[in-house]
Amino acid sequence: MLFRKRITYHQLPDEDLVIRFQQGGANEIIGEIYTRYGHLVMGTCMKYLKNSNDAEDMTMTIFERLPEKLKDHTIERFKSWLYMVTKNECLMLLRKKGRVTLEITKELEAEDELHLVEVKEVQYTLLEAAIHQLKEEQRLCIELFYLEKRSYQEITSLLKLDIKKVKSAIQNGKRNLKLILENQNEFKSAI
Amino acid sequence: MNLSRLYSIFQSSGLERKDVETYGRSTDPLVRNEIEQKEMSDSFDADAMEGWEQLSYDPSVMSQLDKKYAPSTGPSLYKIIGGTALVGSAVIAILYFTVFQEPVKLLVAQKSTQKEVSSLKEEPVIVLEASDVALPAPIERMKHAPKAEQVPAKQISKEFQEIIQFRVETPNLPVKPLPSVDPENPTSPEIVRNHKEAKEIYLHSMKLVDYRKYRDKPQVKTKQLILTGTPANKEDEYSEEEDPVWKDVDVPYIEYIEKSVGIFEHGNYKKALSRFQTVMETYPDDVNANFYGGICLFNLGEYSKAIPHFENCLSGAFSNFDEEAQWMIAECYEKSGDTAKAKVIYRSIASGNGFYAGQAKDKLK
Repeated sequence: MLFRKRITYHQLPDEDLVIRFQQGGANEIIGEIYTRYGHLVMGTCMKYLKNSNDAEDMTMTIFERLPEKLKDHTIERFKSWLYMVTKNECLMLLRKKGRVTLEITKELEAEDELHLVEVKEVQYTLLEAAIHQLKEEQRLCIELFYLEKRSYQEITSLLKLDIKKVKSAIQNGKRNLKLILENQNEFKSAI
Repeated sequence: MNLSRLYSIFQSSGLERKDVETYGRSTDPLVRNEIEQKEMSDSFDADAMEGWEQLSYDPSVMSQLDKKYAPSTGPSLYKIIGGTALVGSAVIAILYFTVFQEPVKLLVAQKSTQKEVSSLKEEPVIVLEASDVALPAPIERMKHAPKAEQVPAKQISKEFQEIIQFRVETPNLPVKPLPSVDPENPTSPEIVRNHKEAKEIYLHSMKLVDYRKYRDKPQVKTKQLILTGTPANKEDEYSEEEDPVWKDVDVPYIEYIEKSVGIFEHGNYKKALSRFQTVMETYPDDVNANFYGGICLFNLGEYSKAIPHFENCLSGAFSNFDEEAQWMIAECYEKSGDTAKAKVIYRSIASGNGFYAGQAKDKLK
């Protein structure tokens, strides 16, 4: 019985899990969320707190408070929401320790919202055209990374760029592509 | 240009836990690219991967967290291991017990300290019941009757024992003959209630009807406040604890009544009364709650309020408290100054051959 339940949770999308939990679901739902995102929370905490003990404690705190928070919030995209919660908790701790004076993220970041459902041949062409509108550095990185499936390391040595630059070129290139595509009605209608 | 690859720009799925480890191990550019694409799928994944780089991509740092949050990996393996360990330790224990007496003590001592430590690590959960926090205002306002006027728990339990002894010594109580019925002139039929002695249980040396035999899963509806969360010593400024909320819960009847009788025994009549009232909200005819609730009221000097509860004992389904309740009703009338009514009852008790007959006669002198 228990086993069967877990399988169902395992198959449910995040948002359904959240709804089930809000309707008085079991703690196994928190376990399932941990399985899906525990490592992302831990990694993100590590990135901000730079100390594995602090990161572990913070991850613990975040999951401890998760049940309460889930019940109090209307959550549209769970992953973005959890990212925001994680980042805010870390920034609050850092601010308390006087290490940063960063603004706390209030809004969900829109960059992750693009989800394509169906792609037609013509849209590939649009996408290809959009890539050519990117700045040289971003275009090269995107092409090497997505089309030639090169690793960061390879791109770094091929383009003689710092790994951080490569990563941000890919990230920014992706964001810009999305903006270009969003401005093209034909593409938008298919989203 | 491979067009479908282009599409992966917006299509890659997020990082899984195993990807973190794989990335740390693998030098294959294709494998790395696949994981890096996942990393790029979302800023959450990207941030996390940066963090994991500082942790050398070693997910074992999460072992403590896993213990707390990860769902156990299927029951089978753990059960087998756990079962084997259990059987094994039992065998070892028996061997120790039979062969070496001394080491057993050591083993037991070690085990008990281990248990203590692990229980310390557990999150403290404090359960408060409604009667622990605040009593209903009418009860709060009551004042205890002078000590000499009270019926302490000790006396009640002593009388219970004496009644048992009394019944053993006078086994065959004469049964009153039924009044003859004139078939020519039948009187209105009298309702004979089903009033019998129920199974009893003694808790805190107090007599109780064991309702577990007569009710299906008896439970008392009450409110509990469950205090959980960060212990004060681990709390910091931004730990935002929410106020605990009262929750309606069903507590097993026997558990609830046992605690209530314990409180009664300690002489905390107000708190005990509020608990007996809670029982009566679920079971208005409960003889235990009516009887001990009545005694609480008696000891609080609320004689007129106590009488209906003792009367409920007499009219209820079980006769276990009949003698005591009848006596208490008479006492209540006497204490409240209604000597005429008290005398009527004392007389009726004295004319019978119950345990209180002698005392009733003394009262009438």
